[in-house]
Amino acid sequence: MGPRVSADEHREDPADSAGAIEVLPPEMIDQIAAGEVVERPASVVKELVENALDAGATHITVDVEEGGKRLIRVLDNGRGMSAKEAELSLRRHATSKLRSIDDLFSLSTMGFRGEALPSIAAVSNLAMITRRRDATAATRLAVQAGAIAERREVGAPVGTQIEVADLLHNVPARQKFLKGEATEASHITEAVSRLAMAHPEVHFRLRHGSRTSIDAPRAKDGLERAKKLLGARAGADLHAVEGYEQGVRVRAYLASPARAQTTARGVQLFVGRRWVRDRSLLHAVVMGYGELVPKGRYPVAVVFVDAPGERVDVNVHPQKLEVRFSDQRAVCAAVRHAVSRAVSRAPWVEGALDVGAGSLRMEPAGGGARASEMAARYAEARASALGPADRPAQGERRGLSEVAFPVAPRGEQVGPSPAEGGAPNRGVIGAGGRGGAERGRVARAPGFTPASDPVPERDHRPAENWARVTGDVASDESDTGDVPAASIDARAGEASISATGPMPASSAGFAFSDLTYLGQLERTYLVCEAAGELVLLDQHAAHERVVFERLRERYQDRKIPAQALLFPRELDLEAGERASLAEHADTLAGLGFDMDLTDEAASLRAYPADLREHELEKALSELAGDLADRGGSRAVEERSDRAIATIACHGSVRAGDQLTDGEVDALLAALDETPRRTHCPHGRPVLLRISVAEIARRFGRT
Amino acid sequence: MDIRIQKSEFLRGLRLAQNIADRKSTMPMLANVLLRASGKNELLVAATDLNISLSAELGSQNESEGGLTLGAKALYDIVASMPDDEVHLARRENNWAEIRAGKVRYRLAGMPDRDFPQVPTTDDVSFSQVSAKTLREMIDKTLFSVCSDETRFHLNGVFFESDGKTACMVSTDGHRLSKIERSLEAPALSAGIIIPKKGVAEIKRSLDGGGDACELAVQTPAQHQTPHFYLRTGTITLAVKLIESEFPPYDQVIPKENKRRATIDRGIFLDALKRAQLMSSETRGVKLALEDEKVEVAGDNPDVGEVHEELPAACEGGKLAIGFNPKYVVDLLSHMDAEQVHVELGDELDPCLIRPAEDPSYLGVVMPMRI
Ligand SMILES: Nc1ncnc2c1ncn2[C@@H]1O[C@H](COP(=O)(O)OP(=O)(O)OP(=O)(O)O)[C@@H](O)[C@H]1O
Ligand SMILES: [Mg+2]
Repeated sequence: MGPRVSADEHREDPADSAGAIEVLPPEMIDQIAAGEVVERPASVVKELVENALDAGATHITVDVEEGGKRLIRVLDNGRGMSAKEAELSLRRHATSKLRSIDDLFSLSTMGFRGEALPSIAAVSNLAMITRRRDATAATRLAVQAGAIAERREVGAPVGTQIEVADLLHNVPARQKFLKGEATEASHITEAVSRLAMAHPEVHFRLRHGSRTSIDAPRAKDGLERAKKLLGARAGADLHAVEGYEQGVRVRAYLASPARAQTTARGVQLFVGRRWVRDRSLLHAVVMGYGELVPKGRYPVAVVFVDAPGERVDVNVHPQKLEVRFSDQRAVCAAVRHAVSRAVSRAPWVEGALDVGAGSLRMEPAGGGARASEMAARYAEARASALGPADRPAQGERRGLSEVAFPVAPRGEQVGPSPAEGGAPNRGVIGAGGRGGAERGRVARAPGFTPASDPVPERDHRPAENWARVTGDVASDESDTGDVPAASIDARAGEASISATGPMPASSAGFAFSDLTYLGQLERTYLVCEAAGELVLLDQHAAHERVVFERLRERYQDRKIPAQALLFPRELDLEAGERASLAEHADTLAGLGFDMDLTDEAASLRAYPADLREHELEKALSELAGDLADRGGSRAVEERSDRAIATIACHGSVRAGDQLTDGEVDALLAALDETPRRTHCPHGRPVLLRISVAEIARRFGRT
Repeated sequence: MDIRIQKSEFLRGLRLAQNIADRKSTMPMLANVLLRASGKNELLVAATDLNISLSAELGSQNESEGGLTLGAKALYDIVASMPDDEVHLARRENNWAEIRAGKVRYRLAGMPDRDFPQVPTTDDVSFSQVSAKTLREMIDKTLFSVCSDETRFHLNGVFFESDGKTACMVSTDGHRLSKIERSLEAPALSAGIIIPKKGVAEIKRSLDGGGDACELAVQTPAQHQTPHFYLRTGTITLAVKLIESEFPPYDQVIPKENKRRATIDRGIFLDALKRAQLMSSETRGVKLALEDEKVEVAGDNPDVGEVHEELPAACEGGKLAIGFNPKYVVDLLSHMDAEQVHVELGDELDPCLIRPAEDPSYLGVVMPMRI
């Protein structure tokens, strides 16, 4: 049967066709329909692989040439088709998967429209070889320009192989919209990777020419598959969570917030086994991570949502890339809660904290690019500041402290006045009289041992260098670029490196209160010593996290302490800010504010005791923004969290604040009791750990 | 300029001057003291940070008149370290000073005296003699509750009122307030003045050195002069520029008729609060619970632990549980010297008044913390 009839008799002279209504030739109808399904080579791959999955295949191999523009070949070991079925499969709206419209809501297959194969065939040269298990021979069909050009019996294994060549060759207008080979190839990798993510029981292979891009053997569960596909780094700290709420089941594999990226690409959402894009679900995941992921960044997370069939409409997008829920809110809430519950337990936090003494990796604990940048800057600063100084003799504390805290002279600092007659300030932590005090503190620090104390021999291991660390972290960024193919390959390579590499030495709990505090650097960082490593804390980030968690707990109990004022205080706020605050009077009251807001003025009678009084105005004007209901897209709890983070920020010690030993001790003790303590509420890291082994290496001692 | 002066006499002026001289200013001259010899026996030592100025008239033997300015700190250290009782100071060319005592000879670079800022004069103000001891006590009992948030400058000082017989000092940081009244024959003022915190501290320092007599004077804004508070102890005059702003209507927030009153032993109360402070923080507060015969003090801090203590007390007006930033109450109690204090309370969000049982003219008000 030749499904296509020549359309010539429908054509009229273009001269008198202007404005006339005419019936499109079937060939064009097919090409237009194909446009909906076949957007680019990756969409063909997706349709063909879905068909293979629907046919019950356990091995699927995809080969592409020239980014799929030249050739796409999908081979499966599924149930195959008889000769008759094979022909039918090329007919529009021919499907074995849907019998009644109600079936749409109880689908167990990826396909249901009977549209994919004919659409693809309309815009390519398609060849199919397929054999059912009960058949002795396979059928080969070749379609050219929409019509079956060849039909014969051939010998072939059970299953189906479909080759799609010269995609869009007969629709030049659309062909020209295809991107370069690398881009199309990367889209294909992404498409296969998404399908593989949702089908861990199937062995997937993808080859670009002779290069294997994905080889994912049957995995025992989704976590194993996710680890495989995300690569060694992001995969290593994936944490599996499950949740069930109002009939919605959520299964997710969450990476540490430290993996956060600048694009949403790292968030993979699946409804059933279908990859979807869905802004509200994405938002729910990001919200679940809360403030651990800084504004404008996205976590790496794989999330599967299962809702009863009748609550999901899968037939809303030609490529089935979107779905519609009858109860969007419930689904989002379930996702948000599952993610946030898991995140608050911060499973990867202990991991980050447990990077043991002398471990190979100097892990700037989190913060992605920022942390790496910080690490790099820090390393540079150290390298140039330390110079060739040899290790000080043991016990030479004063000398050590001077070496340990060199500070570049700051332009605006006034040198010691000659009248003071003192020895020139050696730049010990800032200028002025502080040097002496800090020195005293170092000498006083109990249990202080100079860094030259012998490090236990077992801790000496070949250390990675800073460049490696920073390069490493920086390459996170490339994940967000447009070439996932390359990065998956790179990850695969790395998997073997870190699999053979030594694991962190210590897994005993890391306690902040066990740190020996050495002193303050630039009144911003707390320099501490732990067994075999130097630990730097960002004092503001650390305190902010402590205050935030404490406030959040008290907010839930409506127990935020509020300090009343003797005289009501007039605040200088803009009309818009006053309006936004007035609208959220309840939340504000819960946060500890007692204020009168009118059209003209804002006057304050009580405020949260944690807030620094001189930052009241600033905090309130930020709160007005935090609480503003931007089109209702933000959940109430997210807004209150933001508000609490703002209060915490304005209630914490700042960079530049001098801390007493007592304050530092209290802070360290409080950190141990605080969840999510490795990052501040805005997602910046709290601590940076540098092993003595690394320091030794930098001194050329290993 | 060429003078001889007793070391102790010289130090009497330099000690105060070097405190006031401002080394952090962008005007290098402010780090200096002015020395100006006039007549046969007079040496003026002056220092200023433009807000607080000191001028000391010291006795000296002058070979020749003239003036010079020198680094305040350096000069003080040099003179204090001199071995002999008599110090000889002479100006040399290019504003160098030569300072000698016995066989010691220093040369110190100075700056010309004509560039030194004008120090406020006291020619047209009239001084009244007051008790230094009383003035000191008033300062002691109010200085601690001055607001240190520099953006709220109207609270950055002690409010001073006087009707010629009784003087009153008040300070507040917006959360607590302290107020003291004493009979003091200071000049009568038509309106109160705000003396900045740092100035009050310098006044206190000047009072520490002198005897029990001092004189004070006020140049009020009404007289079209920069308003100043002046304190004279002997031949040393301190001029403090006033804060020109409106002090809040403090009288309105002092509760007049609180329905509850607890009378507690001050020492026991103070110790209990200090213990509770160990289990609390400024952002958490301590709880006071008034019963009939006792007051319970409680603090808890999830990071540390909790504490409960019962104090014997005579309570009237009914039970109440109320929270406070413990620091505010501790500060107040430590500045009272009575054995017993009255704690007068309204409801849990009303201001609380604390006053010594025996001294009706000193009081503190603390705003509660809702916890
Ligand atoms: N690899 C395969 N193995 C076995 N049968 C297949 C395979 N590919 C296609 N078929 C058969 O061909 C039919 C048509 O496939 P096609 O992809 O066009 O439609 P569909 O999968 O039913 O729906 P959709 O358009 O939603 O993908 C399928 O219903 C299935 O019966
Ligand atoms: Mg299909």
